[in-house]
Amino acid sequence: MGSQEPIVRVRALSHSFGAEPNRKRVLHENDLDLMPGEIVIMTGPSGSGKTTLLTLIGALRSVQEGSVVAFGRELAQLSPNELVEIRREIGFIFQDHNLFDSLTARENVNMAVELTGSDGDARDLRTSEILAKVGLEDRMNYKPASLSGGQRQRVAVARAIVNRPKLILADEPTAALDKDSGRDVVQILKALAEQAQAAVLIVTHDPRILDAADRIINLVDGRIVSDVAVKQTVKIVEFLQKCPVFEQQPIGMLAEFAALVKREAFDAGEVIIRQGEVGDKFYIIESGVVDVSGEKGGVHLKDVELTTGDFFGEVALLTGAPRNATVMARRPVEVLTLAKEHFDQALQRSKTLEERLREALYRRG
Amino acid sequence: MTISDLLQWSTRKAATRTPVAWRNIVHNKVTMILSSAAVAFAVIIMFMELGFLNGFYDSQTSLLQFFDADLVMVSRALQILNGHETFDRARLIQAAALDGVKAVHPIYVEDTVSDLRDPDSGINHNTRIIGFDGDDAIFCSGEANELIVRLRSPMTILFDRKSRSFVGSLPPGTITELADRAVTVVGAVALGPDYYYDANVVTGGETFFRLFPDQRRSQVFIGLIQLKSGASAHAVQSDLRRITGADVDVFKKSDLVNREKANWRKSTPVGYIFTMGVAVGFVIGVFIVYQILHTEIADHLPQLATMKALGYHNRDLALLVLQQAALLGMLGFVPAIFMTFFLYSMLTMTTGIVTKLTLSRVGLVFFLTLGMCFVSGLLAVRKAMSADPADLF
Repeated sequence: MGSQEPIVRVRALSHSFGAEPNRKRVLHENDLDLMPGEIVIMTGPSGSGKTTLLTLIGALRSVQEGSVVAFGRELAQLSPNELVEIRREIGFIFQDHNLFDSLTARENVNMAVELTGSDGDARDLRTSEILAKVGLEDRMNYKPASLSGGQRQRVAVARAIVNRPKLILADEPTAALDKDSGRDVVQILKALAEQAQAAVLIVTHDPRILDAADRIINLVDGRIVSDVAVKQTVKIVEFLQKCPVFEQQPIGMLAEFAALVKREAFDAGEVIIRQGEVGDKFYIIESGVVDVSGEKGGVHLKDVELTTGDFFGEVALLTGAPRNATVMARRPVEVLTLAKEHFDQALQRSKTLEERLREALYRRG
Repeated sequence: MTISDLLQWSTRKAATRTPVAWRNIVHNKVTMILSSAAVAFAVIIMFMELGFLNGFYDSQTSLLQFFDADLVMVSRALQILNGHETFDRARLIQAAALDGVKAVHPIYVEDTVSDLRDPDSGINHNTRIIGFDGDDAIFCSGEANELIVRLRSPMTILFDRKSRSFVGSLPPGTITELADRAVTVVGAVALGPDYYYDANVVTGGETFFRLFPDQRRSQVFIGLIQLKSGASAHAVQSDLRRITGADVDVFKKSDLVNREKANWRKSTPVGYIFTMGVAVGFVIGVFIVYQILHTEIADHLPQLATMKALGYHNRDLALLVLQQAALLGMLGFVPAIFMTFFLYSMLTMTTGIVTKLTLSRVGLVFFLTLGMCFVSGLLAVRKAMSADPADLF
C-alpha cells in the first residue's frame, strides 16, 4: 500500500466561514491521505469540521488555503465545470438518501449511470447488476415510499457506486439504519474498496461500524488530532500479545506501543545493529531469523539465534551502554522497532514491563 | 453536426433518458390535478379574452363572410360596415362589363326604420334588413341559396335564426310586421348578430324597396363581384380600380374582412381592451406556474442538490425546470381547451356572438401558454440553481 499514490492528498488544509471581522476558521492546516482500497472512518464532535473537510475533498466547496489533490488534480486550480466533472468520479452517500420520490429504485440509479453517457439497455443492465448486488433485485421497480429505510439507503449506495468511483464519501450512512442494514451497507463499501481499490471516507458516530475501518481519524476543533491505522495496530497488538515480554501488558498500553512502532525490513546478511554503537531502538522480530554475535574482553561469545517473537536491543537502552552484540539477518527479516524515547516513556509508565525486561535479560544471561 | 442530426440526437436522448420532469409532475396526482387546474385557469382567461376579441371581429365581418363573392365593391367613404355610405350602381355595371367578371350583385341595407315585431311579445326590435336583386346564388350557404326563390313572393322575408333570442324565434310561416308592414317569414338563414345588430332579415329587392321607399335602387351599400372560372382576382381588381372613379374601392373579400378588422382596431378601444385581457391572463399564468414550480423546487431542493453532487451541471437543472414548466403548461392546456369549447358554446348561445375555436387560435394560445411557462421557468431556475450539495452533509 505504501508505494501507491493516494487517491486524495490533503496538505495544510484550512478553511474559514464568514467575513471579517466575524470570520471563523473551522479547519486548521490538516494533512490527510486516502489510499486506494482503504476505508477511513472520521469521527469527532459536532462542529469539529468533519463536514467541511468532507465537502472540500468532494469538490463541493472551493479550497481557500492549502491543497486538496484528488485523482492527481489540484482542486483549487479547477474551473467550476471541471469541479463538476471531478464529482462524477466520486460516489456520495448522504445520511438522508435524497432519492427522487417520483422515480423507481432503478430510475434513481439510472440518473447516475446516464452521466456516463450510457443509456438504454446498457444502462439498465448496469443498474440491474448493481441493485442485485445490494440485494434489491426484487425491488428495482419500487418507488422509495414502498421501500424500507434500509432499502432506500441501499438504493442510495447503489447510486453512489454504480459508476465504480475511485472515491466514496459517506456521511453517517448507517445512522438511520438498523444493525443488519447498517452492516449490509458497510459490507458493500468494503467490497467496493477491496475489489475496485476505491478509497472510502466515512463520517460516522456509529460504533457498530468502527471495525470496518482501516484507519480512524479523529477531528477536534478543526484539527486531525489522531490518525490511527486500525488494522495495522490490531495486527501489531496481536503480535505483541504473543511476545513473552508484553503478554501481560494491558491492551491499551499495547495499542499505544503499536501506534509508536515502525516496521523495518532487512535482507539476508544485513547487519541490523552493530556492537559498540549507541543504542537508539528496541527491536521485536516480526518474521525471519537473526544471528546475535559478539565478543567480550577479546573472547568471542556464543552465537545466539533469535526468531519470530524474540526481541533485542533492550540492554543498551536500559543501561545506557553501547550495543553489546552485533545482530545480523540470517534470512530476510521484518522487525518492529521502538525509538529510545518511546521505549523510555513506556518503561516509566509500566514498572511491570521494566521488571519483565530485566527478568528476561537476566534469563538470557 | 447538422440541425437534423442534433434534433435526432436530442429526440433519441429524450426518449431514452429517465423522464424526471414528467415523473415529478405526475407523481402526486392531487397536486398534479390542482396544478393543471391552476394553469388551465390562466389559459382559459387568455382563450376567453381572445374569444371576445375574435368574436367581436368575426361578428363585425360576418356580413361579408355571408356572401359568396371574389371581389367586393364599397364606397370609398365607407370605413366600417356599420356605416351607411353607399355608391352609384353604375360602378357595378362598369364592373360587370369586364372580361373576367361573371356576375355582379348589389346589396342594400336598411337599419334605421327597420323595426321587426316579435309576434309573441309584440315588441319591436331594430333589425338590419339586407336586400338584393335577382335569383342568383349570392350566399356562401347552399341552404340559404335554395331559399332565394321563396323571396319572389312579395312581402316575404328570411329571418336570421342566429339572431339574439330576445328578438323572437320567428319560424317559417310566421306573419309579423317589419317597418310597420306585414311580412311573411318564408325561411331561415344563419348569419348571426354583431355588437351593433341584434337581428338580421334577408329579403328580395321588390320587398325591400316596398318596405323602405326612401331607399334608392341606384344607391348600393356593397357590390358583390363574382368572377369567371380562371379569372385573376388581382387582375380584375386592378382593372376595376383603374376604370372606376375615386368614389369606390374594390377589395378581395378577404382583404376587406381584414380592413374591417383593422378599422375596428384603430377606431375603437375594443382591441386594446381584449389584448390587455390576454396580457393579464398571461401574467397571471406566469405567476401561477412560477408559484407551482417554486413549491415543487423547494420540495425537491435536496434531490436537486444531490443531482449536482452526482455531477449534473446547472444547465441540466435549468433544463429540468423548464421541462417541468412546459409539461405543466401542456397539462393545463388540454383541459383548458375543453373548458373553453364549453364556454364559447355558452357565450354563443347566450349572446349570439360566434366565438370560434379555430386551429390557428388554439395554436396562438398554445404558443402563449408555452411562453408563459418559459418565463415562469426562467424565474424559477434561479431557485433550482441555489441548491447547494454542500448543504446535504
